[in-house]
Amino acid sequence: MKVLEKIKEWQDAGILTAEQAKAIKNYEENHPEQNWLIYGFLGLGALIVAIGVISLIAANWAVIPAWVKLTTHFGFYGIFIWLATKFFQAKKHLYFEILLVFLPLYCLASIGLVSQIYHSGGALYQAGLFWSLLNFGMLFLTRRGALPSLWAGVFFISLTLYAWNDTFLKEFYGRNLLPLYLGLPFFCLLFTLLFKKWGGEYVVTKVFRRICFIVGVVGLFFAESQITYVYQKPYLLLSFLPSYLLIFFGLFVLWKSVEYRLSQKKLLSLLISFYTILLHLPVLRVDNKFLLASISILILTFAAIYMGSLNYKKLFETFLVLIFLRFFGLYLQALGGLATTGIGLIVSGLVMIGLVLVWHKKRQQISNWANEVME
Amino acid sequence: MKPDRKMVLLILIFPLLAMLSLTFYRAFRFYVGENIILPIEGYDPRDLLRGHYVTYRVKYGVENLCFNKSSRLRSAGFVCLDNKSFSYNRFPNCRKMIKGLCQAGTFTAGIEKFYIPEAHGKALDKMLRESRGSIELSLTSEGKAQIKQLYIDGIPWSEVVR
Repeated sequence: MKVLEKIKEWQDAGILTAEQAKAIKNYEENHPEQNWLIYGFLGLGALIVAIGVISLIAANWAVIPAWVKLTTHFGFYGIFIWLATKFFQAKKHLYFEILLVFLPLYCLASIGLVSQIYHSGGALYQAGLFWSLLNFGMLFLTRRGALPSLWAGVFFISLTLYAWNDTFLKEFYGRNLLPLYLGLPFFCLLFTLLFKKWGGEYVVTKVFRRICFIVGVVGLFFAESQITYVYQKPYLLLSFLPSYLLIFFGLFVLWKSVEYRLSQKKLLSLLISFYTILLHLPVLRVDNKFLLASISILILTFAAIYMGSLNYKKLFETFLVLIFLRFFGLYLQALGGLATTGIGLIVSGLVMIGLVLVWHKKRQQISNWANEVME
Repeated sequence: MKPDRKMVLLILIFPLLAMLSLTFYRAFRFYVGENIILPIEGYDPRDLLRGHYVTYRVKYGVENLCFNKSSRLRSAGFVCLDNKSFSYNRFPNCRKMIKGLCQAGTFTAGIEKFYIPEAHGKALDKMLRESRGSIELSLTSEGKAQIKQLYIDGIPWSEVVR
């Protein structure tokens, strides 16, 4: 065993005394290893039994009467809810949080089961939106990041697909997601404000604030990838109107807020302005890939500085990576045909390695600089 | 603000109550409506089977389904099975009416899918392509249709594939 060998090595080096070495050996030989083994086998056994039960149900699914399926399913739903309330009362937060993630997933399974039994149609995004509506309340109960991330992921993806597929919205947006994504980060801001009012600066508020930025990054991606597609389509300025209202609301909240420093307000206003310009480039008929990339990089830089000023280190680093990736993309765009050759690939690889090394070495300095800029 | 026990229970139970309501509504439509049987046909021989369900086109026996509407936008449409006719307005005196949506000249009523176990997919796929299928529907007086059973040559599909 590696630990026992190490103990001998440390004892020989004089780091451990004979008594200490003996005590550690006793502990390692008798207690944790055995427990891990027992728990491991118990877990494996339980998993095998569970898989067996699921297989039996799956094999006989077609012959199980609908009422049995529904009664069992909703019976268990009730039991899980009862358990969750018990855990809440007993202040067993971990178990309560586990059920808070499990229950919405079980609800999704319910939607699938009812659709299957009654052969109802409907697209996946409709189920996603229905699920989001049913489980929205759960966000007021959780104190962990998993559920809000899951909920927001399902909601925003379903909403995007809805705008893309629904006949009315398809006509309204002309199958162009730019007007939608101009407003979505600010729509997300509404959720952030709601949760802030509810629970202050707690985990759900923070998760939603981050999600607003993620939605914005997706908007940048759409702006850059759809630009040529949009050019060939008749454009409806009207489709931007809901987003304008949301942007004005966002700016109003920002400038009324007392929590932000003036420099942060200015920075965010600049970010919003450039984001608005970028998502309007198809309307302005500006067909310049480098201008587009430059505005994208500028927006990402503003976002990185803002995250740095809030001491959100992971998000700050994520935005830096995005900036470097965009630079890399710009380089590939500039090289064009050469990038497809061996030399192009070698140079691209070296540039990437160089950028990553610079980032790794200088990230603390850059983070400090961002903080100083906002002071 | 900290949630209390009552609030927790309310929030947790809301999705369950909503799902139960939806189930009862579906079950109501399933058992209470008038039963009718309509023939079906595979509308795309290359993609009749999508995963665990079969898709098909219902043969209403109506010639002018979704007539004169070129709009890509959906609009409500009604099929009267009593006199095999179609209208964009509700039929006042039709006993067997199906409400659906017209889009790009196609009429859909939410009854164009039937869930089946994957293992029987290929066999059913072949039979439906041979136009041997029909579906049993439960129809409410408002024209809402609910699928009850899929038949092959007039026999429930589960007995045919057994």
